[in-house]
Formats: sequence, C-alpha cells, structure tokens
Amino acid sequence: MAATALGLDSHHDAHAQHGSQSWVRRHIFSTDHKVIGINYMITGFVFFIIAGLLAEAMRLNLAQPGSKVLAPDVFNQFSTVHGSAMIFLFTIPFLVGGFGNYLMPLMIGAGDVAFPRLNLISYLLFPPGGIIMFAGFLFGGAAQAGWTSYPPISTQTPFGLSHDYGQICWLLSVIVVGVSSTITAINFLVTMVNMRAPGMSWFRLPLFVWAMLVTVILTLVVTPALAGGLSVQLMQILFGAPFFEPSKGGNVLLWQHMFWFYSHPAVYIMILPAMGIVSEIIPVFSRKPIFGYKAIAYSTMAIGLLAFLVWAHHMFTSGVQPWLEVYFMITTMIIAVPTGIKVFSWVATLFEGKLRLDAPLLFALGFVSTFTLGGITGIMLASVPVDLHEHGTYFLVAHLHYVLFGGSVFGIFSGIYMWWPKVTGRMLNERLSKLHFWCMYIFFNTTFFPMHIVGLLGMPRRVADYDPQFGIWNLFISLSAFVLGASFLIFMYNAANSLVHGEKAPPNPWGGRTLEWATASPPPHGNFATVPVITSLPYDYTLPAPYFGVPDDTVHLPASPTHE
Amino acid sequence: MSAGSAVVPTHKKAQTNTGLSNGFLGIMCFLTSEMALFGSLIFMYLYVRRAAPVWPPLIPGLAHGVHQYYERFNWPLPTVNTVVLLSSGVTMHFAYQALRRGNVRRTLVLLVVTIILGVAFLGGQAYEYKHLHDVAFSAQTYGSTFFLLTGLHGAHVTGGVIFLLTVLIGTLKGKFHQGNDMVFHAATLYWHFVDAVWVVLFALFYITVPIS
Repeated sequence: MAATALGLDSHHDAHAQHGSQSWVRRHIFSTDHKVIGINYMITGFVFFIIAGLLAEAMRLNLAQPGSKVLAPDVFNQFSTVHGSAMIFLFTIPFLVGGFGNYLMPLMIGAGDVAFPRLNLISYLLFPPGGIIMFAGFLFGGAAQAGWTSYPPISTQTPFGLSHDYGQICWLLSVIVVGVSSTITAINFLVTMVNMRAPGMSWFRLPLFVWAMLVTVILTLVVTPALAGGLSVQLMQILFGAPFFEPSKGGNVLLWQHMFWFYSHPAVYIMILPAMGIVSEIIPVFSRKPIFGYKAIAYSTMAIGLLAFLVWAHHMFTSGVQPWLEVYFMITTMIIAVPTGIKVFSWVATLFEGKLRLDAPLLFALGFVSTFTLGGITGIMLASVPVDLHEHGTYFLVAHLHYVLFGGSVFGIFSGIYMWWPKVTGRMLNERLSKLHFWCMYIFFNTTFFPMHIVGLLGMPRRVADYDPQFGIWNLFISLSAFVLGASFLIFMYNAANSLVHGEKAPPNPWGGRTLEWATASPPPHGNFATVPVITSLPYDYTLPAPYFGVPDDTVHLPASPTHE
Repeated sequence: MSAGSAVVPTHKKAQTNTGLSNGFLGIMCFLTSEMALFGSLIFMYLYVRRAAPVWPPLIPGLAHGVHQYYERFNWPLPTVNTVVLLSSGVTMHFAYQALRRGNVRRTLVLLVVTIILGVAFLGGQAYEYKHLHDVAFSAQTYGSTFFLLTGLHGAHVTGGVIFLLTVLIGTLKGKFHQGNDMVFHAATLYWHFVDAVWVVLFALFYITVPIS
C-alpha cells in the first residue's frame, strides 16, 4: 500500500492538551475509539474469567456421577449464566466492541468513529448490563432456564420465590447489552460507509473491515428483534401477559422463533470478526497476499445473507412442520459453502508461503483446524434425522464449543497476540506465548472431543448428574478442563509481565501492510497526522513496509468529528 | 493535533465517501433498527393471531362475528386519531421545507402545530385505552398484543414529541437554521417513521377482520 501517513511518537504534544484531565476522564470517559476498544476488551475479559470459572465448577460437579458439589438448581444457574455471559458479555463485546472499535477506524484511515460520544455511551452500558445478569445470584438465584430461556421453564416462578428475579435480571441484562450493541452497530456502519480514506474503495478494504461491515449489518437488524422477544417475555413474567400461555391464546413456539431469529445470526456475529482477524494474520505470517481476496469478501456477504434464512435448524425437535424442517436443512447446508471457500482460501494462502510460526499464526492455525471440525459436526447436525437423535445431547455441546471456543476464542487470542504490540506498545514473551498456545490447543481438544462420543452414546446436555456408564468419559473431560483453565494463567502472567517489563514495540513488528501498522505503537489521538491515499490492496508484500515520511498537505481528512 | 496536519472540517462541509452526512446515515440506520423492533413484534402478533384457535377471543354473551370485533373500540375515535397523526406528518414536512428555505417564522408555527397534533394523538390514545371494551392486558393474548404494540408506538410518539420540543427550543435559540438543519431533518424522518408504523398498526388491529 502506497502509504504516506505520518506516525507520531505517542508522547508527542497530541496528548499535551489532555494533560490536565484526570485519569478517570482520560481512561474511562474518553471518547477515543482506542480507549473505548481497550475498555471493552478488559471488561469482556473479566466476564470471560468469571464465566470460565462457572464452567470449571460445573465440570467439578460432573467429574463423577452422583456428585453433590452443586445442587441441581445451582448447576442450572451456572450453566445458564456460563453460556449467556460467554456469548453476550465476552465474545460479542470483545470482538465487536473491542477489536472492532480499536482496529476498524485505523484500518480505514479514519481519525475515529462517526459518533464518538455515542460510542462512549455504548461502552458505559456494558459493565452495568453485565453486572445485572450476575445480580440474579443475589436475589434468590440467577436465571436457570438455559441461555435459550424457553418458556414455560423460563416463565415459571422457582419454588419458594414470589417472582423469578433471576430471570428478570437476565432479561434486563440482555436488553441493556443489546441496546449497547445496536448503538455500536449504527456507529460502525456509518463510519465504514462514510469515513474511508481517499482511494479506499470497497474492494481495497482489509478483510477484517469486510467482516465488521457484515457483522454490524447483522447486529443492526436482528438485535432489535431479540429485544422485542425479551420484552415480551418480561411482560409475561412481570404483568402476566400471556404471550406464551396456550390456555390464553399464547404459543410456546413463538418464543423459539423470536429467540432464534436473533440467536442464529448471533453466532455469525461471533464468528465473522474472528474469521476477519484470521484473514489478516495468515497473509502477514505467510509473507503472501491473501489467496482469493474477492472470494472471501463475497463469502462474507453470502454468510451474512444466509444467516437470516437458517434459524429454525435449532427447532427441529420442537414440533415445527416437516416441510419447514426440509427447507431449513437445505439452507443450513448451503451456508457451509461460503464458509468452506474461506477455509480453502486460508489454506491456499499458507501454501508455499514463507511461514513465520509465531503465536498469532499458531492461534490462527488452531482456529482453522478446530473451527473446520466444528463446521463438519455442524453439517452433521444440519441433517434433520441426525439432529433428531443428537439434539440436546453432548454431541451438540461439543459442536458449539468447537465453533465458539475453537473458533471465536482462538480467533480472539490470535488477534490479541497479533495486535498486543500495537495496542500496548510492548512485546509479549514469545516462548510463553507458544507455551500458552500448545497448552490451550491440546487441552481444548482433550476436553471437548470426547464430548462428541459421550453425546452419541446418549448423554444429555444441561444435566447436573448422569448415568454411571458415562463416568469415565466425564472424569477425563473434567480433568482436561481444569488444565485448560489453568493454561490461561500462562497468558495472564505473560500479559502482566509484558506491560511492566516488556520490550518496547516498534511501529510494525510483524511487517503488516494494513494501515494500523503505518502509525506509532500505540497510535496517538486522531490516529494519523495526515491520511494516506490508498492505491492498492493491503496485502501487497512487494511494496515496502509503511514508512514515516513527510506529511502531504494536499490530503484532506474525511468526515471525522473534532475530538474533545 | 500538531502543526502541519490537515484541518478537520465541520459537519456541513465534511467530505464523506457517499456525499451524505454522517448524521443522515445515522438516523437512517437507527430507523432501520426501529423497523426491526416493530417488525418482530408485528410478526409476533400475526403468529399469535394465526396460531390461536379463535381470533379474536369471544366476548361472553355476544354472538361471534364482525360486530363483536368492532364493538371493542370507540369509533370514530381511532379514525379521527389517525387523521390527526397523519396531519401532523404533513405539517412537519412543511416545517422542514420552511427551515430549508430560511423562513424561520413559518417553521416555528408549523412545528408548534405538529407538536399540538402529536399531543392530541396521545390524548386520544389515552382516552381510547380507558374506554375499551373487553380488552385486557393479561386476560388473553388479544389484549396483550394490542396494548404492547400500540403502547410501544405511543411511547415512540412520546419520545418523538420530546424530540420535537428539543428541536423547537433549538430553532427558537437560533441553533437550527438553514445552514444547520441535520437535527431538524432527523426529527422529521423520525416523525414520518412513527406515522408509518401507526398506519400499519391501525390496519392490523382496527381494520382487518380476521378469517375465522
């Protein structure tokens, strides 16, 4: 990319005008997209740890049959909050609010997002929204109907309570976080449509930006639909409005349709940014342009479109009409095609590349291998006869963890390792990074692969106890899960050490060609002193790496608002 | 920003990739999300209506049929209310046109009329709610869906009235004028959206007779 951007030393006078502001004003209430992005990531990571500990407690209970570590209703609460927190309070905020906020404006050459103050409001809704979900534990028990919250289980009052406060907390929490998400989607969409640097046409966008574009369009359209469903369930619980009460004209399937119309696109909201991250990492660490740039861009759009057409594959066992099941089976299988195109493109990029097997690439390869396996079990489940047998078993738990953990979480960590130098200005310890990868990859597989088998053997999901025949499998899974959990400590130590003692990062340690590498580590306020004019795709390694030259005064910034 | 960098332009003169301002695109995205919200709840209403064995539920003591359906409402109030709201959309349109042409006095008059009509609509809805026959929120889904959808719409009208009052104060203070009309335009678009939603709800709840 012929970049003429100038990167400023982060200690330059860009910060001087803010020197008199308090720490809180600069780090919590800043409208700078980079600060907001970091805040999303920190908050999201805290929820990740808490939700992970809930899972470890569940695994402790499941290590042996007949175990009384957790009472059954407590187990159900943990299971519900683990899933809900991982989805709504970690994966989506970290990828969209975190990586999206930090990287997208930089990658398109903008100074910030379209509405920075609205961006801050989005973030400020996130921590309280998350805390409300956990507040249920203090009010007689958190929600216990699973993250899917089906009536009548979700609308019944638990024994001994006057109201299901936990469920009310869950509903309010998801509504608040959903509003935050929708506002972010509006902000990002306007930014990407209107504030790209001169010369950055649609087919010169980095693939992470393509991923964010489709992700936020999905978010914009389906999150309000979820809000509608959640409000309806809230009306039933609080005021007795019988939307899901058949005796008064309601319908239980109604909830399932409203819920899954959002929640299926939600899984694409969770995977597309991770795929975008991997699409950025693989070319850089193969020293080759991405294979099939347009194919990946079009596949991203195709996945976004198809995402709206497959939701009832979550409802094959709930009594929907058979003809409808056939339709959804077909569309679900079709969505594997653009996904497969992406996997082939990544593999083709690696082929005959000059591979640099550092942590970002290792995690990206981990992503590709585990996500592909998860995709394969997804195709199996898409077939109605198979799903009738496997729905509600551990086979499904294995599938969802292979795509969400093997996919999104590995993608998140590959992004963390890739952009850590850019965001913090420090390098991570490479040996510890590799150790973290191998521990996480090996123990992820030993934890979740056996779940396929135990599910096929007949173990149901969301159970606190099970038939003793599954005992040895569950013990093995639980022990693996404990080591997997412990492996995150390697990362946390590495991160803390880097922030305190890490070597200073250069502007472009990996030799990337996207615009965030054409400015300092970390980038200053306003990101670029002058905006580069884009003349080619961001993956052209024949061009020299971005350099710091003389500013070009004839270039005007696109519509970025003045920052305070 | 340090010396030697390009000056960041204001909203009006900003160069954007599409030529449309950020604010305009933003309000259109927001209205899309609102359409999705109302869309999902309208879907809910249609689903419940289709899946119920009898719609609307029978009023005890009355024969089942068209008469019973219409008897729940206080005609001609719903029709009058609809005309009131749609008229406010017309006055709002011309208020914005007047602002664009620099006629501040006309803008203010039309804006005030719009607000009065909007409040009149809300008053009509409140009266309607109090005087419905056999429509209850928690007895049957007929009432639940009716109150949820029209209530949500009413909340949006209320929010719209507050938005219009803010715009009125801004215009009086001279903040919104011919050269700075983005917020006024946004309010106009929002108000038209609220009108459009009402037309759909009116058709669904008041006009269409269910097929038994």
